[in-house]
Amino acid sequence: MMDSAATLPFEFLHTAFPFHLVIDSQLRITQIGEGMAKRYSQMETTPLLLENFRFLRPRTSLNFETLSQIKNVVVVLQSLHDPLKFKGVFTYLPEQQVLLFLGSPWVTSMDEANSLGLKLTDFPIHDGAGDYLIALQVHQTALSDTRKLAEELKEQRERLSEANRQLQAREAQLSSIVTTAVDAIIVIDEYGIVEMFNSAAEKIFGYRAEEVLGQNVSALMPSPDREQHDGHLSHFTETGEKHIIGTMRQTYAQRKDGTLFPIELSVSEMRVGGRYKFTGIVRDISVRLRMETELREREQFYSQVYHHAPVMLHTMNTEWVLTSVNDYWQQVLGYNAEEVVGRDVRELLTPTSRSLAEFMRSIYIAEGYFENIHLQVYKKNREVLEILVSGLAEYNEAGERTGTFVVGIDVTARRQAERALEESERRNRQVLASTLDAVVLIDAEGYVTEWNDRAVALFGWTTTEIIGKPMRDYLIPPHFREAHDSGLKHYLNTGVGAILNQRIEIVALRKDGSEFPIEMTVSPIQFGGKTFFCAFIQDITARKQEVEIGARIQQTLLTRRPPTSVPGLQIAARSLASQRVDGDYFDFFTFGKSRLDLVVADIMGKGIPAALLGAGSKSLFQRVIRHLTHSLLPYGCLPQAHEIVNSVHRLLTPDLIALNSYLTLCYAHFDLEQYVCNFVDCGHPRMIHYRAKTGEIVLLNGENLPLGFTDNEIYVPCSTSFAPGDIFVFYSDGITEALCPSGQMLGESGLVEMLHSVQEWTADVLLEHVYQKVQEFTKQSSVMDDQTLVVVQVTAERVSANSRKAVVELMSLVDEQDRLLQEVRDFCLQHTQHQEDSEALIKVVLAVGEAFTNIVEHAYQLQPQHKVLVELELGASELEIRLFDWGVPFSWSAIEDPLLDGSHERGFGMHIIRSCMDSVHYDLDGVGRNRLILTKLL
Amino acid sequence: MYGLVNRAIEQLVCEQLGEETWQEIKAKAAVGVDAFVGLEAYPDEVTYDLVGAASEVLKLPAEAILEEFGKYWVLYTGKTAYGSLLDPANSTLFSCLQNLDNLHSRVSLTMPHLHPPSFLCTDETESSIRVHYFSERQGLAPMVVGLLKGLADLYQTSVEVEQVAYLAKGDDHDIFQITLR
Repeated sequence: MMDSAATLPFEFLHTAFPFHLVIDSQLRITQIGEGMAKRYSQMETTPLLLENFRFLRPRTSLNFETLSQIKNVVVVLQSLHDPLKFKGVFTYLPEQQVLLFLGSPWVTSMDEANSLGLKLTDFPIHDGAGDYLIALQVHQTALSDTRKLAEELKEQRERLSEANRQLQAREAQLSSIVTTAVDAIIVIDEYGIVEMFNSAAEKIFGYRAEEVLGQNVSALMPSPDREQHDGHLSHFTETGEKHIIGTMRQTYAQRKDGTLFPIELSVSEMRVGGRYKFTGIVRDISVRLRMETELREREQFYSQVYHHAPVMLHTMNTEWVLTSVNDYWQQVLGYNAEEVVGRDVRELLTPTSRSLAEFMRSIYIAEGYFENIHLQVYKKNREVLEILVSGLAEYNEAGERTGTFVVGIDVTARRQAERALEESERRNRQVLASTLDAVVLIDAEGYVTEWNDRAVALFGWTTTEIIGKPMRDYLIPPHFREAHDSGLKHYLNTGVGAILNQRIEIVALRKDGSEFPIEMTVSPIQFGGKTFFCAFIQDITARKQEVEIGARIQQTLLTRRPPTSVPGLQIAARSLASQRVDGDYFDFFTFGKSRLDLVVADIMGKGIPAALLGAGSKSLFQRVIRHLTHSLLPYGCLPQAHEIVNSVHRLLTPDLIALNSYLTLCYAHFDLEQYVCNFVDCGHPRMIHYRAKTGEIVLLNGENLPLGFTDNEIYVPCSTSFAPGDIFVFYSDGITEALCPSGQMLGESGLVEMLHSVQEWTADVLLEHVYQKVQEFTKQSSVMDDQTLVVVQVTAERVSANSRKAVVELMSLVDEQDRLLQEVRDFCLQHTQHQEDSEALIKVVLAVGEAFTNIVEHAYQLQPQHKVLVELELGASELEIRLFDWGVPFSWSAIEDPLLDGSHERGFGMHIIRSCMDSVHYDLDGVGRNRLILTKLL
Repeated sequence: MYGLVNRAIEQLVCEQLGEETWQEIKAKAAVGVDAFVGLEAYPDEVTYDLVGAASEVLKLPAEAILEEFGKYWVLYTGKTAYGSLLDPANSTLFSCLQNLDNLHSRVSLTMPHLHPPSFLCTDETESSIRVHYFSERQGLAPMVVGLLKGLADLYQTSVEVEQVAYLAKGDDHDIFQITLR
């Protein structure tokens, strides 16, 4: 043994052996390592070893004596303060008479260590316990690694066996397909030797499988395929170049009996064990080919008949969408089949014929055919063709109607002859009118050959300057020239010109370079075997401006916000102006709180004349109403709707006739006391009345002519009663004649449709709803014709209950007083608590009597033919009596206090009235009547 | 390199980019191994090839992949397998770094084929420390950056890692300066 080179200071133990203990002979702990001290501070106060530790090993009874003698024995101490065990060894140090325990914590996993608050760094580096923990950890990781791998392996094996099962199932499936396949399936190897020949192949080729298996497949082919097949095979296996593999082709095969038959053959290759195999699928197509040929021939025959027949033939489906047209049809109407197939046949008809077609369709739906219907059709160049059509429904095998076969005969010439006279007359008129137009004649190359004076004035070019010049460079603005060239070319090639024979609006070029809008009609003329184009041209600058002015007039003069102050009615109204101003307008007139009149009108024509006529007639209504009201005042009544319309008619119709114009209108008077609507309809679209009680929608119209047709017309009113919740809708034809993109009109029924289930809505919302629906229908934001809509909704509230109000009409006679007083008495007895003999009633009767006498004597000065109107009304807490007269206005200042000395009687009446009633009020009412209001509180 | 490392790469790719991408990378790297066994030593080339293939497939520089992998190693694989050896709850990032070399030394004793790198710490202040990295392998410094960042995450400590000396540029060894933020 070496001599000690170094001795350790005892304190060094603290750090070198953090878990050591020094124990004296009394088994007291006298020194502890750092690690120990950190964990067990209590050892300071309870120093006895056995107060802190229990011996797990060795299992002997322990005292200092024994302990000092055991050497090299593993000692395991169990802490009594926590679950930690310490493994170590006791050494007896004789000099100090103490026992030294050198040990370290004993844990079996890092997790356990962590749970006991032990860290790897708590172990001194020389202590193998730390490494032991790491080794444990590594092994644990390795173990879980192995477990995971085993798990994966198991999963993989399961997947493999599942795949295997599927493969077997697929194989069984495939083999059943091969056996039951309708097509022949033949598998050969790379030398052409047949390895598989299914039952369909047996049937098709006439061989049994065992006759073919092992033989060369070329036996199934006719020459020259038979001789070439081996060559194709070896070429593919050597080069990989595919000849027929992967495609489907039609060829011939040979049966056992030597006959040839057409087949469809597809070949695919596969590689099995490094060698090629080929699968051929063969379908016998002899039957199919024969049927195809027959069908084709038959179709060709019918198609030739169909297309070359010298009548117009077309087919259409049950929705009347064209499905085919024959050659002659295309020739006559100028369309190519592609342009019209897929379109609704009705789009080709003129509006009149379109409605006839609808009628004809209803017959067709019922009967399955129509015969000899006379229709007008637009050719592609917009010329109108007269045709006679008959149609027959086509049916499928199930007996369902699939479409219609239609025959048409062109009868234009015949019809034209019938109209020759009429036509020539019209043309003459046109020529006459067009003398105001600029006339320009152009040859087929586009050079100007004629130029009239009006053209000189319009364009600025003199005749000598322009004749023989290319029209396009002189009259057409540069940016339109290309379109002109292609249009001209198209016409010369095809005979179809998009702009020919119709009025079009375009922009033209003046000599000074300015551009201006024109309206032009171009007609082709054949002259001396050459084509010329004759253009009639009008400057429409002024008209364009006019449209703008008209629109402004419309917005400012022709519409008015509906009144909101009529109790019991909700009104919404609007007029959407079209791009070309029409003369739609509406107006409202109120008379007190229980009458509303309204007029909705539409002037024929467009532009400023229409707008001005509209404004004029609208103000005429106002004037007439004012005038009639004043002149009827003395009679205590208001003008009736037909009186107003007839007055307007007398004043306006001569002017309208002179201007060759007319207007349709509907004048309606709503009486909110009687709940009656009196209206005068003058050829206006029918007003709509929704009846809330029954839910029905009624269209109302009179039989009067529009204003401006004839002087002799006398306008007759109609009337209808209404009830709360009812809705009236007035509108112009711009609404019902709105067109959807396919050319259908909305119509009355379309509008009525929109009004279903809208009764809960307010007038404003309903109006908005209709406009929105109309816009959805037309699918365009701009309006083609003015669209006016007025909605009047009768709300539930009534002005006053009839039973609580009474009106008495009297003549200005003293004798009438008794009748008046009796009415007053009856009214009070019926509606108030007053008894016949109550003081209050007596006072009321007295006051009314005095008031009536005053009117007769002073206002009318005893003239007998005048009228006195007395309204009796019972409010919540008072009785109100209103007396109206049209006599001399009353002057308060002129009334003197009565003199009780009997010197004169003046002022007594008023005095009596005042003392009998709770309040007395006098004024001139809105329509110029004297009004005396007497109030008695109940 | 032990299979653990390769498997961690596999896990990282599968988790973040899907099984298909991993198969693509594995095919590109031409690694003839179906599954890595954690305690089996594989040639270092396998790891390098995987990183190279990943770089190609993901169109990312190898450095970025290594750094990401370093982070992943600490936060997921290292943590689940050996996390209990670290103790974020009861110590600090710096003490962990100080102990890093011990950990590797001890592990290397248990795994005879492991040639782990050495990490020695110097210049520790309150807010910074220098980590010296010695390895017989080339080019893994970016992974060390990720590793250090991952450790900082584990200790919920926000740091900046800056490499201040480069073996590749002729310095004696790689040195990383870690500064608390």
